[in-house]
Amino acid sequence: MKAFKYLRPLALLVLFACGGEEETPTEPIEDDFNPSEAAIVLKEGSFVDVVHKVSGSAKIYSSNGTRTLVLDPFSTENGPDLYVYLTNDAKATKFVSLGKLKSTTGKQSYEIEEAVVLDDFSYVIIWCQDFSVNFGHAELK
Amino acid sequence: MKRLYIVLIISSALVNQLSAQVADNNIDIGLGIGGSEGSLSTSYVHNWQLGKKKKWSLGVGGRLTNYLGKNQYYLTAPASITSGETGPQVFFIENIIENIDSVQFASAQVNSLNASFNVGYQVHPKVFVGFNIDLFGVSFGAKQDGRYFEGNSGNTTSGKPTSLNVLLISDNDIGSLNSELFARYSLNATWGIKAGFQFLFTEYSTDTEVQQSPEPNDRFRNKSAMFTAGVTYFINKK
Repeated sequence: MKAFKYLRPLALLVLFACGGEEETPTEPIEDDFNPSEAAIVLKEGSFVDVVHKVSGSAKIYSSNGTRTLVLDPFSTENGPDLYVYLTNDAKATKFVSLGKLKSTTGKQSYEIEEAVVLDDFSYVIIWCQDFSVNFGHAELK
Repeated sequence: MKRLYIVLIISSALVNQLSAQVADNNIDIGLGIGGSEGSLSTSYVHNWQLGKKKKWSLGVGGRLTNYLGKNQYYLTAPASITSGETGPQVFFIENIIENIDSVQFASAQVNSLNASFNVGYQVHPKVFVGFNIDLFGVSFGAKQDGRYFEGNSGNTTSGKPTSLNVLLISDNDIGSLNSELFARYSLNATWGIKAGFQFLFTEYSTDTEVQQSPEPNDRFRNKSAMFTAGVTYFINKK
Protein backbone atom coordinates (compact mmCIF):
# COMPACT_ATOMS: atom_id res chain seq x y z
CA MET A 1 0.00 0.00 0.00
CA LYS A 2 1.18 3.47 -0.85
CA ALA A 3 0.54 4.71 2.68
CA PHE A 4 3.13 2.34 4.20
CA LYS A 5 5.88 4.09 2.21
CA TYR A 6 5.46 7.07 4.52
CA LEU A 7 5.56 4.95 7.70
CA ARG A 8 9.15 3.74 7.25
CA PRO A 9 10.99 7.00 8.00
CA LEU A 10 8.66 7.61 10.95
CA ALA A 11 9.36 4.17 12.42
CA LEU A 12 13.14 4.72 12.02
CA LEU A 13 12.88 8.07 13.79
CA VAL A 14 11.02 6.43 16.67
CA LEU A 15 13.58 3.58 16.94
CA PHE A 16 16.52 5.97 17.10
CA ALA A 17 14.75 7.91 19.85
CA CYS A 18 14.93 4.86 22.20
CA GLY A 19 17.72 4.92 24.81
CA GLY A 20 20.36 2.31 25.68
CA GLU A 21 20.82 0.25 28.85
CA GLU A 22 23.23 0.97 31.70
CA GLU A 23 26.28 -1.33 31.93
CA THR A 24 28.22 -2.06 35.14
CA PRO A 25 31.61 -0.29 35.52
CA THR A 26 34.50 -2.50 34.37
CA GLU A 27 37.35 -0.59 36.06
CA PRO A 28 38.92 -3.03 38.61
CA ILE A 29 38.29 -1.93 42.20
CA GLU A 30 39.98 -2.72 45.52
CA ASP A 31 37.59 -2.18 48.41
CA ASP A 32 39.24 -1.02 51.63
CA PHE A 33 37.17 -3.40 53.78
CA ASN A 34 39.48 -5.30 56.12
CA PRO A 35 37.91 -7.59 58.71
CA SER A 36 39.06 -6.95 62.25
CA GLU A 37 40.72 -9.71 64.23
CA ALA A 38 37.47 -10.24 66.09
CA ALA A 39 35.47 -10.64 62.86
CA ILE A 40 34.03 -14.06 62.16
CA VAL A 41 32.97 -15.60 58.84
CA LEU A 42 29.28 -16.50 59.07
CA LYS A 43 28.88 -18.03 55.59
CA GLU A 44 31.01 -18.48 52.49
CA GLY A 45 30.90 -19.99 49.03
CA SER A 46 32.44 -19.99 45.55
CA PHE A 47 30.82 -18.58 42.41
CA VAL A 48 29.78 -20.85 39.57
CA ASP A 49 28.59 -19.84 36.10
CA VAL A 50 24.85 -19.94 35.36
CA VAL A 51 24.05 -17.88 32.25
CA HIS A 52 27.35 -15.96 32.09
CA LYS A 53 30.89 -16.44 33.35
CA VAL A 54 31.24 -15.49 37.04
CA SER A 55 34.13 -16.52 39.27
CA GLY A 56 35.53 -15.81 42.71
CA SER A 57 34.39 -16.24 46.26
CA ALA A 58 31.85 -14.68 48.62
CA LYS A 59 32.17 -14.38 52.41
CA ILE A 60 29.82 -12.85 54.94
CA TYR A 61 31.69 -11.35 57.91
CA SER A 62 30.23 -10.30 61.23
CA SER A 63 32.10 -7.61 63.08
CA ASN A 64 30.89 -5.28 65.85
CA GLY A 65 27.27 -6.18 65.07
CA THR A 66 27.63 -5.34 61.36
CA ARG A 67 27.39 -7.99 58.68
CA THR A 68 29.21 -7.45 55.42
CA LEU A 69 29.31 -9.49 52.23
CA VAL A 70 32.74 -9.41 50.63
CA LEU A 71 33.42 -10.59 47.08
CA ASP A 72 37.16 -11.28 46.83
CA PRO A 73 38.49 -12.30 44.40
CA PHE A 74 35.70 -11.58 41.99
CA SER A 75 35.08 -11.34 38.26
CA THR A 76 32.00 -11.45 36.05
CA GLU A 77 31.02 -10.85 32.45
CA ASN A 78 29.37 -7.49 32.03
CA GLY A 79 25.67 -6.89 31.55
CA PRO A 80 23.01 -4.24 32.03
CA ASP A 81 21.66 -3.44 35.48
CA LEU A 82 23.68 -6.04 37.49
CA TYR A 83 22.77 -6.37 41.18
CA VAL A 84 24.05 -8.39 44.13
CA TYR A 85 21.22 -10.45 45.63
CA LEU A 86 21.00 -12.65 48.70
CA THR A 87 18.45 -15.34 47.83
CA ASN A 88 16.85 -18.45 49.27
CA ASP A 89 17.49 -20.53 46.12
CA ALA A 90 19.18 -20.38 42.72
CA LYS A 91 15.96 -19.05 41.12
CA ALA A 92 15.77 -16.11 43.52
CA THR A 93 12.24 -17.03 44.61
CA LYS A 94 12.81 -14.82 47.66
CA PHE A 95 15.54 -12.20 47.63
CA VAL A 96 17.15 -9.16 49.20
CA SER A 97 19.06 -6.75 47.00
CA LEU A 98 22.34 -5.53 48.48
CA GLY A 99 22.69 -2.95 45.74
CA LYS A 100 24.14 -2.49 42.29
CA LEU A 101 27.29 -4.43 41.51
CA LYS A 102 30.12 -1.91 41.97
CA SER A 103 32.43 -3.35 39.33
CA THR A 104 32.80 -6.43 37.16
CA THR A 105 36.27 -7.06 38.63
CA GLY A 106 37.96 -6.75 42.01
CA LYS A 107 37.37 -6.86 45.74
CA GLN A 108 34.07 -5.27 46.81
CA SER A 109 31.92 -5.23 49.95
CA TYR A 110 28.19 -4.82 50.62
CA GLU A 111 26.66 -4.14 54.03
CA ILE A 112 23.71 -6.35 54.99
CA GLU A 113 20.82 -4.58 56.73
CA GLU A 114 20.07 -5.52 60.33
CA ALA A 115 16.54 -6.66 59.43
CA VAL A 116 17.78 -9.39 57.08
CA VAL A 117 17.46 -12.85 58.64
CA LEU A 118 20.56 -14.56 57.27
CA ASP A 119 19.21 -18.08 57.88
CA ASP A 120 16.57 -17.39 55.17
CA PHE A 121 19.21 -16.88 52.48
CA SER A 122 21.74 -19.38 51.21
CA TYR A 123 22.88 -17.94 47.87
CA VAL A 124 24.62 -14.83 46.56
CA ILE A 125 23.51 -14.16 43.00
CA ILE A 126 24.84 -11.73 40.42
CA TRP A 127 21.43 -10.80 39.04
CA CYS A 128 20.65 -8.90 35.86
CA GLN A 129 17.54 -6.98 36.91
CA ASP A 130 16.78 -5.68 33.40
CA PHE A 131 16.38 -9.18 32.01
CA SER A 132 15.67 -11.23 35.18
CA VAL A 133 18.73 -13.41 34.57
CA ASN A 134 21.00 -15.19 37.06
CA PHE A 135 24.52 -14.52 35.72
CA GLY A 136 26.18 -16.76 38.32
CA HIS A 137 25.87 -17.62 41.97
CA ALA A 138 27.71 -18.81 45.07
CA GLU A 139 26.01 -21.21 47.44
CA LEU A 140 26.73 -20.08 50.98
CA LYS A 141 27.55 -22.63 53.69
CA MET B 1 -37.84 12.98 38.21
CA LYS B 2 -37.43 16.56 37.01
CA ARG B 3 -33.72 15.97 36.60
CA LEU B 4 -34.37 12.82 34.55
CA TYR B 5 -36.60 14.82 32.14
CA ILE B 6 -33.90 17.45 31.74
CA VAL B 7 -31.24 14.78 31.01
CA LEU B 8 -33.58 13.08 28.51
CA ILE B 9 -34.37 16.36 26.73
CA ILE B 10 -30.68 17.33 26.53
CA SER B 11 -29.67 13.84 25.33
CA SER B 12 -32.41 13.77 22.73
CA ALA B 13 -31.45 17.26 21.49
CA LEU B 14 -27.81 16.18 21.27
CA VAL B 15 -28.66 13.00 19.36
CA ASN B 16 -30.88 15.01 16.95
CA GLN B 17 -28.11 17.56 16.52
CA LEU B 18 -25.48 14.90 15.87
CA SER B 19 -27.63 12.89 13.47
CA ALA B 20 -28.11 16.06 11.42
CA GLN B 21 -24.35 16.42 11.13
CA VAL B 22 -22.03 15.09 8.48
CA ALA B 23 -20.35 11.95 9.77
CA ASP B 24 -17.14 10.29 8.84
CA ASN B 25 -16.09 6.74 9.58
CA ASN B 26 -12.61 5.39 9.45
CA ILE B 27 -10.38 2.54 10.48
CA ASP B 28 -7.03 3.30 12.10
CA ILE B 29 -4.08 1.00 12.52
CA GLY B 30 -1.28 2.36 14.68
CA LEU B 31 2.04 1.13 15.94
CA GLY B 32 3.41 2.46 19.23
CA ILE B 33 7.11 2.10 19.99
CA GLY B 34 8.86 2.78 23.28
CA GLY B 35 11.92 1.46 25.13
CA SER B 36 11.58 -2.38 25.26
CA GLU B 37 7.86 -2.13 24.56
CA GLY B 38 5.41 -1.67 21.74
CA SER B 39 1.74 -1.70 20.88
CA LEU B 40 -0.53 -2.35 17.95
CA SER B 41 -3.86 -0.51 17.97
CA THR B 42 -6.73 -1.18 15.63
CA SER B 43 -9.61 1.27 15.91
CA TYR B 44 -12.97 1.92 14.35
CA VAL B 45 -13.91 5.60 14.58
CA HIS B 46 -17.28 7.27 13.95
CA ASN B 47 -16.96 11.06 14.08
CA TRP B 48 -19.58 13.74 13.61
CA GLN B 49 -18.37 16.96 12.04
CA LEU B 50 -19.58 19.95 13.96
CA GLY B 51 -19.55 23.72 13.71
CA LYS B 52 -20.39 26.14 10.92
CA LYS B 53 -17.37 25.14 8.87
CA LYS B 54 -17.50 21.49 9.92
CA LYS B 55 -13.96 21.70 11.24
CA TRP B 56 -14.63 20.17 14.64
CA SER B 57 -15.13 16.43 15.03
CA LEU B 58 -16.57 14.56 17.95
CA GLY B 59 -17.23 10.87 18.06
CA VAL B 60 -17.09 7.42 19.49
CA GLY B 61 -15.40 4.21 18.48
CA GLY B 62 -13.89 0.93 19.51
CA ARG B 63 -10.24 0.03 19.85
CA LEU B 64 -8.33 -3.22 20.17
CA THR B 65 -4.89 -2.61 21.69
CA ASN B 66 -2.24 -5.32 21.82
CA TYR B 67 0.64 -4.41 24.11
CA LEU B 68 3.97 -6.22 24.40
CA GLY B 69 6.66 -5.28 26.88
CA LYS B 70 9.97 -6.81 27.89
CA ASN B 71 10.95 -6.60 31.57
CA GLN B 72 8.43 -3.93 32.41
CA TYR B 73 7.82 -2.67 35.95
CA TYR B 74 4.20 -2.47 37.08
CA LEU B 75 3.63 -0.16 40.04
CA THR B 76 0.98 -0.21 42.76
CA ALA B 77 -2.28 0.87 41.06
CA PRO B 78 -5.09 1.76 43.48
CA ALA B 79 -5.43 5.47 44.24
CA SER B 80 -6.27 4.64 47.86
CA ILE B 81 -2.65 3.47 48.23
CA THR B 82 -0.77 5.71 45.78
CA SER B 83 -2.50 8.92 46.93
CA GLY B 84 -3.95 7.86 50.27
CA GLU B 85 -7.46 8.76 49.09
CA THR B 86 -9.89 8.29 46.22
CA GLY B 87 -12.01 10.75 44.25
CA PRO B 88 -11.23 13.30 41.53
CA GLN B 89 -8.82 15.23 43.78
CA VAL B 90 -6.18 12.47 43.38
CA PHE B 91 -5.33 14.09 40.02
CA PHE B 92 -3.73 16.94 41.95
CA ILE B 93 -2.15 14.90 44.76
CA GLU B 94 1.50 13.79 44.79
CA ASN B 95 2.08 10.05 45.00
CA ILE B 96 3.12 8.64 48.38
CA ILE B 97 6.38 7.07 47.21
CA GLU B 98 6.83 4.80 50.24
CA ASN B 99 3.46 3.14 49.52
CA ILE B 100 4.39 2.16 45.98
CA ASP B 101 5.73 -1.32 45.32
CA SER B 102 6.35 -2.94 41.95
CA VAL B 103 6.09 -6.17 40.01
CA GLN B 104 8.49 -6.79 37.15
CA PHE B 105 7.14 -8.94 34.32
CA ALA B 106 9.74 -10.40 31.97
CA SER B 107 7.18 -10.74 29.14
CA ALA B 108 4.16 -8.51 29.62
CA GLN B 109 1.37 -9.03 27.12
CA VAL B 110 -1.97 -7.29 27.53
CA ASN B 111 -4.80 -7.19 24.99
CA SER B 112 -7.67 -4.80 25.58
CA LEU B 113 -10.90 -4.08 23.74
CA ASN B 114 -12.41 -0.74 24.72
CA ALA B 115 -15.04 1.78 23.68
CA SER B 116 -13.39 5.12 23.00
CA PHE B 117 -14.16 8.83 22.75
CA ASN B 118 -12.65 11.02 20.00
CA VAL B 119 -12.30 14.74 19.43
CA GLY B 120 -10.43 16.57 16.68
CA TYR B 121 -10.04 19.61 14.48
CA GLN B 122 -9.41 19.99 10.73
CA VAL B 123 -6.58 22.55 10.71
CA HIS B 124 -6.06 22.31 6.94
CA PRO B 125 -7.99 20.50 4.17
CA LYS B 126 -5.43 17.71 4.42
CA VAL B 127 -4.35 17.93 8.08
CA PHE B 128 -6.41 16.80 11.07
CA VAL B 129 -5.31 16.87 14.70
CA GLY B 130 -7.10 14.74 17.23
CA PHE B 131 -7.23 13.17 20.64
CA ASN B 132 -8.87 9.92 21.66
CA ILE B 133 -9.19 8.02 24.91
CA ASP B 134 -10.55 4.62 25.95
CA LEU B 135 -13.61 4.74 28.20
CA PHE B 136 -14.42 1.17 29.24
CA GLY B 137 -13.98 -2.39 28.09
CA VAL B 138 -12.27 -5.67 28.82
CA SER B 139 -8.71 -7.00 28.84
CA PHE B 140 -7.30 -10.47 28.36
CA GLY B 141 -3.94 -12.19 28.19
CA ALA B 142 -1.98 -15.14 29.50
CA LYS B 143 -0.76 -15.56 33.06
CA GLN B 144 2.85 -14.34 33.43
CA ASP B 145 5.54 -14.91 36.02
CA GLY B 146 6.76 -11.77 37.71
CA ARG B 147 8.99 -10.53 40.51
CA TYR B 148 7.47 -8.48 43.31
CA PHE B 149 9.68 -5.78 44.83
CA GLU B 150 9.09 -4.12 48.17
CA GLY B 151 12.04 -1.83 48.70
CA ASN B 152 15.22 -3.93 48.52
CA SER B 153 13.52 -7.29 48.98
CA GLY B 154 10.97 -9.33 47.12
CA ASN B 155 9.76 -12.65 45.83
CA THR B 156 8.43 -14.32 42.71
CA THR B 157 4.74 -14.05 41.87
CA SER B 158 2.43 -14.39 38.86
CA GLY B 159 -0.44 -12.38 37.43
CA LYS B 160 -2.95 -11.84 34.60
CA PRO B 161 -4.23 -8.67 32.95
CA THR B 162 -7.01 -7.09 35.03
CA SER B 163 -10.23 -8.10 33.24
CA LEU B 164 -12.34 -4.93 33.53
CA ASN B 165 -11.27 -1.53 32.21
CA VAL B 166 -12.92 1.72 33.33
CA LEU B 167 -11.70 5.27 32.78
CA LEU B 168 -12.14 7.30 35.95
CA ILE B 169 -9.65 9.96 36.99
CA SER B 170 -5.90 9.51 37.37
CA ASP B 171 -5.02 6.52 39.60
CA ASN B 172 -8.72 5.80 40.12
CA ASP B 173 -8.65 4.21 36.65
CA ILE B 174 -9.13 0.48 36.52
CA GLY B 175 -7.53 -1.86 33.97
CA SER B 176 -5.87 -1.15 30.64
CA LEU B 177 -6.69 2.07 28.77
CA ASN B 178 -5.14 3.70 25.73
CA SER B 179 -5.10 7.31 24.57
CA GLU B 180 -3.54 9.16 21.65
CA LEU B 181 -2.72 12.70 20.60
CA PHE B 182 -2.04 12.71 16.89
CA ALA B 183 -1.85 14.58 13.61
CA ARG B 184 -3.14 12.99 10.41
CA TYR B 185 -2.33 13.83 6.82
CA SER B 186 -4.82 12.78 4.13
CA LEU B 187 -3.02 11.31 1.12
CA ASN B 188 -6.28 11.05 -0.83
CA ALA B 189 -10.00 10.43 -0.19
CA THR B 190 -9.28 6.86 0.95
CA TRP B 191 -5.98 6.85 2.85
CA GLY B 192 -4.24 8.96 5.46
CA ILE B 193 -1.12 8.62 7.59
CA LYS B 194 -0.86 9.67 11.19
CA ALA B 195 1.81 10.20 13.82
CA GLY B 196 1.67 11.26 17.41
CA PHE B 197 2.03 10.36 21.01
CA GLN B 198 0.41 7.45 22.82
CA PHE B 199 -0.18 7.16 26.55
CA LEU B 200 -1.09 3.60 27.44
CA PHE B 201 -1.99 2.20 30.85
CA THR B 202 -1.79 -1.57 31.21
CA GLU B 203 -2.66 -3.36 34.42
CA TYR B 204 -1.95 -6.78 35.94
CA SER B 205 -3.67 -8.43 38.89
CA THR B 206 -1.42 -10.78 40.82
CA ASP B 207 -2.69 -14.20 41.94
CA THR B 208 -2.41 -13.20 45.59
CA GLU B 209 -2.32 -9.86 47.36
CA VAL B 210 1.47 -9.71 47.28
CA GLN B 211 1.51 -6.18 48.66
CA GLN B 212 0.40 -6.07 52.28
CA SER B 213 1.31 -2.56 53.38
CA PRO B 214 -0.31 -0.07 53.86
CA GLU B 215 -3.20 -2.31 52.77
CA PRO B 216 -3.53 -5.61 50.85
CA ASN B 217 -3.22 -5.09 47.09
CA ASP B 218 -3.06 -7.22 43.96
CA ARG B 219 -3.33 -4.49 41.23
CA PHE B 220 -0.23 -3.10 39.50
CA ARG B 221 -0.12 -0.61 36.62
CA ASN B 222 2.40 0.27 33.92
CA LYS B 223 2.22 3.69 32.27
CA SER B 224 3.79 3.70 28.81
CA ALA B 225 4.49 6.84 26.83
CA MET B 226 5.21 5.90 23.25
CA PHE B 227 5.59 7.47 19.86
CA THR B 228 2.92 6.23 17.50
CA ALA B 229 2.58 6.10 13.75
CA GLY B 230 -0.12 4.56 11.61
CA VAL B 231 -2.45 4.56 8.67
CA THR B 232 -6.10 5.55 8.37
CA TYR B 233 -8.60 4.11 5.93
CA PHE B 234 -11.52 6.48 5.32
CA ILE B 235 -14.65 4.42 4.89
CA ASN B 236 -17.08 7.12 3.85
CA LYS B 237 -15.63 10.57 4.03
CA LYS B 238 -18.19 12.98 2.68
